[in-house]
Amino acid sequence: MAPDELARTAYTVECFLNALRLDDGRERTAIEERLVKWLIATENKSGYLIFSDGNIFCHTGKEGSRAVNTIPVPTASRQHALWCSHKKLSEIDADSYAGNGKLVMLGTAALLLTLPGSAEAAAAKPTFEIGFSNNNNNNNNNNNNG
Amino acid sequence: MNLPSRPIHLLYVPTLACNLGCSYCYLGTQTTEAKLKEDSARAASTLRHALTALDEAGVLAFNVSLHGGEVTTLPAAVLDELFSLVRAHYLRHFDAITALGHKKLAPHIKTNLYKFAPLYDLFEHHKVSISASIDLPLKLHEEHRRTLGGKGWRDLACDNLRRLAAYPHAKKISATLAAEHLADIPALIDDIWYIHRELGFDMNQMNLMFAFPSALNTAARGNPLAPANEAAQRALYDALNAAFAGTELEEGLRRHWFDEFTPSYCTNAVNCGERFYLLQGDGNVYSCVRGQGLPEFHYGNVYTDPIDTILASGARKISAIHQQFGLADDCHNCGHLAQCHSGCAVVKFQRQQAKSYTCQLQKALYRDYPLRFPALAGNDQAAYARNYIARAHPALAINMPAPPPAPAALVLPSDLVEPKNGLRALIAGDPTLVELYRADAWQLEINGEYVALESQILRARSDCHTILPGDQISLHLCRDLLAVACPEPLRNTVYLQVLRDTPVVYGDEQRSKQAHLFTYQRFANCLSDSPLGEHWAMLDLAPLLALHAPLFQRGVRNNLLVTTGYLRDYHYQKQKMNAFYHVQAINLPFQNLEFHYLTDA
Ligand code: SF4
Repeated sequence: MAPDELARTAYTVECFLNALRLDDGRERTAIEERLVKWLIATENKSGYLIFSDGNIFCHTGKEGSRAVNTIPVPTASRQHALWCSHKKLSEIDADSYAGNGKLVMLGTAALLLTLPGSAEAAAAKPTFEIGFSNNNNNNNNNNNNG
Repeated sequence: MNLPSRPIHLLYVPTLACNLGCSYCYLGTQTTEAKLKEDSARAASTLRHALTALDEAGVLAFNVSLHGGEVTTLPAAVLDELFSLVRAHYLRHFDAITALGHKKLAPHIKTNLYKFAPLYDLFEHHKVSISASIDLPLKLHEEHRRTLGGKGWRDLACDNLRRLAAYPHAKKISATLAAEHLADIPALIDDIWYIHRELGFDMNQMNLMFAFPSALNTAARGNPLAPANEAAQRALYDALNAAFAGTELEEGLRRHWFDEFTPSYCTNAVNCGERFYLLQGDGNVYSCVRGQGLPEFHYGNVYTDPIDTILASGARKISAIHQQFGLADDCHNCGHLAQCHSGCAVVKFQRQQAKSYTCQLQKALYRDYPLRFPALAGNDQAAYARNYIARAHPALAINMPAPPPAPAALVLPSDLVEPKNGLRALIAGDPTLVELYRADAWQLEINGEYVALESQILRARSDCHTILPGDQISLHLCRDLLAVACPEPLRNTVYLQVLRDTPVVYGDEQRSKQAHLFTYQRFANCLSDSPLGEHWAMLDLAPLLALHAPLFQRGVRNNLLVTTGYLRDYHYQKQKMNAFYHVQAINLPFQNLEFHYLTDA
């Protein structure tokens, strides 16, 4: 694999583990290495990871395929599922998927893909669920940069 | 048959006649004046008529229990027909009743056991569930539960309790206690053990009730039995706890004996008239056995009144009784109002008092089972009480000071939630917004792979791409978008904004928002042709991102939003014109792509 692609994969996995709110440490480093190696090794880059209920499931091939490996991450404090391929992270809006509630409350916290220890990670409230609408309106009333 | 929507509890009293003349009977002279022949003739037809009328009204009697008078005064053939009717009813509604969490299939009967022996086979055949009334201590059974001829029958009662012990289907004993019954609690305890050990009936299956003053009983018999006061009820509770804790009857003590005073019973419903009914063989409907014969608790007649009217009358009459007696200060401030709801409406009426006649006993139960009956305190209690008062005592509610709004409460107009004001409905009603929010008009090409861009406030899925400086990135858009809301497409632009997820706080709202990194506009006639076809235009983004690479930070997500200059203007105009749109599109509504830009790869 090209060095660029290795860097892309390593970085994406790093963001994935950040989003699980997995503490830094030896254990995390070992998981990170294992996941990167595994994603790189899968044929046609078809591998993907799913975090759900305290476990990381490693899949190859089509979506919905059987997990070929499972890594428990009991200290991950994220509540909702997260998908990770070698080049992107994906999540679904749990509220929209949970039912047909009339009121869709769009969260205000951003997807926590920051590095551990960064100012943004520190500022994020761990109890907040991840939302889909970024707070970024710059309407004409309070326009700071047009 | 309509799908049943409203579940109710139905007690059926096919006859008021009784073969005993108990001294404390709440039915007064009704038990002796009943005409058994007439009752027998109509017992089954009235029940059949009522069940059909309930079905047609969409009301499900999920529980049909037979009660007296004394049901067993009816001929066996009539009983047989009644049991068959009830069983058929349960089977007809098997699915609906099971869905409500009930497992009923067998008829249930309340009886004084006087005629249990000759009817045993019939009961067994129909698997009838039996609730037998006795007096405790048994010496009072002899004294108060006498035949109409005035004879005691304790020996027969004991024989029949032995028979009941061996009866293979559901069974229990219930004992109604007055002050006199509690005068000798040791004897009462001894007799519980006697029935359990000597007669072989499992006394875990017992429940206790307290007699209360009854106008009809007073009129018929001068009310010879004084009700047990609250101190006596508590003394009984304490004595039974002391005597039976740690014994084989502890489960009964904890689970069944005082069940009548817990929230699962009608006595603790906010308005029992919405759910509990008693039907007599003559078609008259009353609240329950306690209200039988009292005009205040007469709801109508199934032969002359529609079911809806009867049910509505029940709810109205019970509500009126609760309102008539008001809400005691104790109850207003009680942490257990949510479980108790201030008690039985009929007993309030009989005692002319606002509080439950078993308040102290209930409080002992609440104290002993704090997880089953959690107490509300402080604001939670006050909020529950307000809510309860608004429902059960509206006249009081209107005179109470309004509650202070919660400091953090959002004040939203009530029509905000109308379907026509939902964001998707607003978009559907405005052709320009339909274009603005299109999910098929923008594509981002990343290294040859196309990603359709959707409005960031409409999509339910979020992706965050890892982008490297050498990646091929171009934006493709449908050319016809450039003509939307724009009189001269030449003057239109592709309008890009890139934001970084490093929050800044600004504006009158002091919202925490993503920081704007740069805005870029490219005029329509400066766009390239797209390989997607002649209806598409293209813009190479790689140089633009590379130019701003120093602004991207490791570990921080970026957000690229795309629209046209005129659609952007339209969005803000729409916000000014329509508050419902404004509040729902408070975040930028344009199509977007979130990405990390890995500068140090
Ligand atoms: S437990 Fe007593 S004080 Fe509390 S609501 Fe019931 S009757 Fe009123």
